[in-house]
Amino acid sequence: MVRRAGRALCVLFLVALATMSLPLLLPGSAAVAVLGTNVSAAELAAFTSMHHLDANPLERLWMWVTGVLHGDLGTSIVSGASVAGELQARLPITVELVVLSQLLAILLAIPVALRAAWRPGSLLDRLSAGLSFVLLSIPGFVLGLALIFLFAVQLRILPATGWVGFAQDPVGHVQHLILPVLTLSLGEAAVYLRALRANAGEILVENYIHAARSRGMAPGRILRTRVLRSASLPLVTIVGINIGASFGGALIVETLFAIPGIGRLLSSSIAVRDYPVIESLAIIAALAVVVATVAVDLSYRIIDPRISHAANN
Amino acid sequence: MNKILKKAALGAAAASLVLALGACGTTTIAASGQIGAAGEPKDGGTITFGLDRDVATLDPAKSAITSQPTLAVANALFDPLMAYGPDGSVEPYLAKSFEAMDATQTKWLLKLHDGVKFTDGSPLNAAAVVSYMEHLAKKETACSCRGDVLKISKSEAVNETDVEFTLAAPNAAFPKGFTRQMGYIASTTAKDAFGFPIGSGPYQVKDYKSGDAITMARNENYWGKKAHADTIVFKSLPDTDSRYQSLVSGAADIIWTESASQFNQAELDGMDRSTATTGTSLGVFNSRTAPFDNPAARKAVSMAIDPGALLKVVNEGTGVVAAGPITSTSSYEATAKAPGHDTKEAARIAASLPTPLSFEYLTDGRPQSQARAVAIQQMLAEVGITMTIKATDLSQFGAALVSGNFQMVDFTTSLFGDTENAFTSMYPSDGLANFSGYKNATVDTLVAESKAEPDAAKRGLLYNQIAERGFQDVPFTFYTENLDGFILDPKRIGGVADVSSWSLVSIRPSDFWSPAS
Repeated sequence: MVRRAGRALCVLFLVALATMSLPLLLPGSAAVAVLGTNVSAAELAAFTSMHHLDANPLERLWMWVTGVLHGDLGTSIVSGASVAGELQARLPITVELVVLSQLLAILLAIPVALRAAWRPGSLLDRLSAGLSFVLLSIPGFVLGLALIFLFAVQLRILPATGWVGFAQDPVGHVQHLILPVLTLSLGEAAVYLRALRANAGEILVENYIHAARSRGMAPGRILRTRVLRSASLPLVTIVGINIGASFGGALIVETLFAIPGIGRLLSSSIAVRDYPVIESLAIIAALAVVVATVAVDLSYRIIDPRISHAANN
Repeated sequence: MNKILKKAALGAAAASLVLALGACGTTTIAASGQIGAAGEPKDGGTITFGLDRDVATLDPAKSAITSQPTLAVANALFDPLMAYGPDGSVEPYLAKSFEAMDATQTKWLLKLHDGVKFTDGSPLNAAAVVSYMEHLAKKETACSCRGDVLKISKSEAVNETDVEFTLAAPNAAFPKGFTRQMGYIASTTAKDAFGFPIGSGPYQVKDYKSGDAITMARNENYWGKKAHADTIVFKSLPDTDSRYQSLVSGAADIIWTESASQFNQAELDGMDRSTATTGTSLGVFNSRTAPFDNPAARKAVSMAIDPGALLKVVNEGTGVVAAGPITSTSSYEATAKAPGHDTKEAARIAASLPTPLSFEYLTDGRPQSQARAVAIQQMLAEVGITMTIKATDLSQFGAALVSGNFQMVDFTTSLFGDTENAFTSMYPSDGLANFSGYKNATVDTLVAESKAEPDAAKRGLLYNQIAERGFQDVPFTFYTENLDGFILDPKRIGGVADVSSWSLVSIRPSDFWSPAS
């Protein structure tokens, strides 16, 4: 556990150092975004120096860490807003979007994959294989636009874009969530479905499954208690990886549906080289991935105790 | 499931019918010169305005609300000292008058309206204007207008309503500079609940959610004509396609767009448009380094490009071909003529160059810019010129422009909407926007003369002389004047200004009204 924590800290340090090197590595200038193009090169250099964008990465990392220890994540160069304030407002939105879409994807994938594996070649098996292939082939923004066209423009039963806070209007909140969550989750569900279907198919031919069947155990119970547990190890790995990748997917969905999450904040900050915002967001995203990876590793031991025994021996 | 499918089929059929009916519709301009719902304006209700970007700050000293797509936000919260009138001329707005005090064009007197107040009740008087100018001149304010502000050597409040400006050099078009960033006078002492400086405009901020929406309520104590709608919501809808879908689905009443295909689609969908050709696309040569330090190379490229074809292919036929720096909406008449497209002559010049012409073309990565680059690449290949395309993002593009680290760039700007500013910033050797590095002593003299010339007709002659020199030396090659502006649903909004003759799209949301109210 200590070794694992040490490795995680090393990863975070390297990501932070790489992020702090961005002002020196990336072409483009934050100064141009703020001061415009009608300025001299000397004025741009003065602006860059004033915001420590020309400092070495270690120095910048030190400034960032000392700031964090004082509860200060820095200030946006462009808007002058506090990065902590921006994160406080936007992070919960992205987290809600990502968590709900992952949950929906898992809830859609598990029953279909297990039932399809139970009867290989059945209509459900063929339909789910075809549908997952289609969903994997459609880029997220195309799927999102198609959903907007159908549900907002044609049927007019859901809003096309925007965001409403739960406290402000619970019903409106749910209505605004449906299309973005569907857009994010349908592609993920297709990945989970294919992975789980393949694993479940292999497990269903194992001797202990035949034994359970011969003892007269109901198919539903076999699938839930025998097949799902064994087949979900690869699924958990994919979900863990996807939580990190979902922030990338959220960027597209947040832009398409005009949701004020951190994906959009990161995208607009990169466009104008707003480094204080980029740095904090990148480090937090890395932290999320590291935590998710550790959580996945730990969950292996719960799902399959043999892993824990092997590690102890 | 069947019900849903039936509903979807009905929806699709209904949509087809609407499309077919909408195909017959065109934008109607009322006698008042306004677009949208017909009839008498009504007070009350809410208008939702779809912006194409996130608005990171409502401080007019920053650039977030003073670019064309966001000027409506600035006009809701602040009053510009000067504004464009319906015929494209510049008129006093927050200013009562703004005139030269003598023939030198270096001393100007600004007179403000009596009794104007910021939304906190404090006076917007001469002292407030001087204080704001001092604020803009500070380095830490980081205003992109600082270069222009520093040309004012002295600002002095002579009484409650009058400000005297003394300029470092003559500038006959000085008041025009107050139509944008410099003109939106904000309080230097008071801020709103969200930390932004307050203004004196027809609306005030009720709620600000970063990256989401700005909700504004009518300023009931406004000094001028009060706004119609109770509330205006400016929503950030950054994706071009879903912004349009938001309009069609009713989630927005009016949107900003620069998409040629959407302007065409709007006609089919029964939407109204209020558009202008204020964005000019041109190629800027870097005349400081090879290969474009050779005027013949610049001429060969310029003559090989067919702006008419670019208009058809890239702009889908919307907008007009750019004839030069004096645009189709300028108050000045363009008499200087560019040499024009001539592939044979271009091929001849290219063949006469000491080495085969090959260069890199920098774009800002926007789809239209990319499409134009590809089309130009093909046109140049036909005359034996090799062009490679380098796509960047806006930040990298801006840095390259300022540092001069490019050979040729694809540049789209609204700068030419302000003819005086375009000539004084892009052509002289010390011009702030002379990205080409163009140097011509005669042009410098002509620009200096034009700045000091109070007579518009004579100034126009000087501008044409500068343009003529430019056509000979070719620091730029002009492509198109692009269509941009608003698409709106006439069932849900009225009072949108017809901007077709405007050289700067700066509409006032206080004129908007909601038929539903």
